[in-house]
Amino acid sequence: MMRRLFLKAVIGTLAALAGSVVLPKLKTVFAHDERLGAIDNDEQMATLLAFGETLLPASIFFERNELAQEIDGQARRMAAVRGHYRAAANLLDETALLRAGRLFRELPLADRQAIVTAIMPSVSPDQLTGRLYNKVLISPRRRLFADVALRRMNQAVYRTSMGWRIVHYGHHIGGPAADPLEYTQPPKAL
Amino acid sequence: MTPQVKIPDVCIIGAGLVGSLMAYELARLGFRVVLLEAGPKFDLGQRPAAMLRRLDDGEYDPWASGTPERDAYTTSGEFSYPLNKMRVKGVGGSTLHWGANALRLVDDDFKLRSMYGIANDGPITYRELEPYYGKAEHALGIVGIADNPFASFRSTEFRKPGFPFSYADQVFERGCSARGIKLHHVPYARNISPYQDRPACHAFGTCETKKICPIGAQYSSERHAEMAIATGRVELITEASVVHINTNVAGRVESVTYVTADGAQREQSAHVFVLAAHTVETARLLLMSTAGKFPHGVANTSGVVGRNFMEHPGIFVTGKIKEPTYPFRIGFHTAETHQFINPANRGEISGLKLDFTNLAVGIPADVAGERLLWGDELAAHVRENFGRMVGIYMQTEQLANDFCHVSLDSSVKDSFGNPVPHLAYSLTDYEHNSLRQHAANIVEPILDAMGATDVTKTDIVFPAHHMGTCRMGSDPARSVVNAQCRAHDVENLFVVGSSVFVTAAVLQPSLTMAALAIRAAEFIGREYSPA
Repeated sequence: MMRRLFLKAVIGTLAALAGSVVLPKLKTVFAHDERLGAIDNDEQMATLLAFGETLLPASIFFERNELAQEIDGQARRMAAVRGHYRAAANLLDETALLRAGRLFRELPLADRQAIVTAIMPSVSPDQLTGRLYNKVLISPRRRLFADVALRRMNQAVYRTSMGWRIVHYGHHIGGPAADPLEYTQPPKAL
Repeated sequence: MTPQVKIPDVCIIGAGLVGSLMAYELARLGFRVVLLEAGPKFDLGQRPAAMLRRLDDGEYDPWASGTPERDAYTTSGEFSYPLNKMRVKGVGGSTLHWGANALRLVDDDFKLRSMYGIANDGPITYRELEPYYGKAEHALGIVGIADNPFASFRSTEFRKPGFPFSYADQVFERGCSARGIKLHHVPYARNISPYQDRPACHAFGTCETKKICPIGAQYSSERHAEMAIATGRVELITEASVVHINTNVAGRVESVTYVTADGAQREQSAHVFVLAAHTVETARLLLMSTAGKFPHGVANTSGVVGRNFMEHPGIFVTGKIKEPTYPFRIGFHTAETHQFINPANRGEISGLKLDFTNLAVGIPADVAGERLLWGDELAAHVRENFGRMVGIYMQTEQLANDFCHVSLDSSVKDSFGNPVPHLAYSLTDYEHNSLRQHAANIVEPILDAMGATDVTKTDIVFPAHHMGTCRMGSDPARSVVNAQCRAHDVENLFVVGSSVFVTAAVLQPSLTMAALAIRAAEFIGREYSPA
């Protein structure tokens, strides 16, 4: 047990050191992805949409087209986002193939949720101890997936009407209200 | 025989709020008008697409026109004032991106020197301008609820009740009541029901933060430009940048020179000229137009043109409270207080207006990005934390000072080869101390009474209220135009707009601009006859 922990610590330290060399290079790759525009291809978009659907709470209807537009907009506005999403889609597909023999987007929702859970660090990086733990023991790919891609995908989801429905709003910025005076009271859905 | 080309009665430079309104009013009086506008006429049909693009891309400006070279400028002073983000060149001018807040100044704003020993008294009083406020409110379709106990008297009623308080205002009201502060409703140039062929507001939510109304429920003076053209007496020429005002030896304006989009230079003659190109360009054009009788620029015998530039410095204060306020369901604020716009010690501390915002920071996507959660856990976090941010915008008064001015920078030329405007802008201790004290003594205690934590203040921001470079006055040695907005030293030149303001006061300038525009048009109607 002690030997296993010791080896884990050594491997983790080596990984961290290697990561400190590799990670800046990965970030350089992402940061210098000069190709602006839409996501790489339809298959990648399908994987990303499956990813977005996986992150939704259970009660919300999935608005596929809206999310596709949002993802596309993010990728067009920020060159680095294409790289982040490409890396995330690759990691999801690799993990899905390893665990279930199929691509991520081909799996049922429950299996996709299990894949995301498996990739996500088990300790939340919202806390300092979590960040330290993840820096030592979690691969750069998984860290980027958690810190960047998942966060961006959540933001993409929440910028659509899905996000506003999660907070019980009947309409959102950029769309007309059925009752323009509804703002005087709490949302009717509450 | 060469056919006679009829010279129009009036040439108006600038098709913004003032120019478009005056074109219509003069046309109604029988005058033939040419309306010159440097920018384009934007297509109302493109507004929905422009709104969506603006939502998608925060850097996209739906009102951008021309080139950086055409609109080049330089700045100096405490603030690197972002002039081109604060103005629009196009039919409608600043009403294309304004907040549509339609407020009357108060009685004391016209006599600060007499009352408080600061600034200057204007040559007109609130009482003299009051009937024109009523006419302007009718023209712009202002809706409102007359519950503001701090307003000066009014002789006319609002044409329709305005927008009711939001749910968030009810929360603000509890905090304000605890501090003895009274909230009241806000008059707006925004339809609550259809008017002037414009639809009612449908709460798209993009007016204040995205500066665009996709359906035209919010007034822009494009409407008056259209109405003016429909009279058959007004010709609108867009993408016509006026570069010189041409005077004769007697000091009368004979024509203006303008340059078209394809670089052609034209001259426009008229009998009377109205300069309504907003504060910076109006001053610049006068300063550039040197000749004979006007070595320092047309109408600048006093040397005052360009001086006394004023804005409304402000700070946005936010805090987090426990109860939800359900923001982002209407695109503008629905409660203000004018309780502090005219303090008894205004000689030491400026007036203050408070806007209680319905759009404080943090849409659901922003809250979702705070934590590394997903699924039901993230949804619970967003529901618990979204809509708990409240915000109060403080708008204060700036006094004219010797430093703030518009001049010509000959070291930089625009695309026409003319010197660009230089805006020198700094605040004094009066403004800085006022902002500091108001935040500490009024705004933060309100938020404290609401139980707010994490109270944050922005740096000083500006709402694009440009005023003062051609001040109005009775003394030709110390002002540019008289009480009728007629240039002291040029009989057939009128300068109309916020450039003639003597003081900034605290409240939005637009309704006062519209009132002055209608008043000036009526004066021209009495002084001159249509040809």
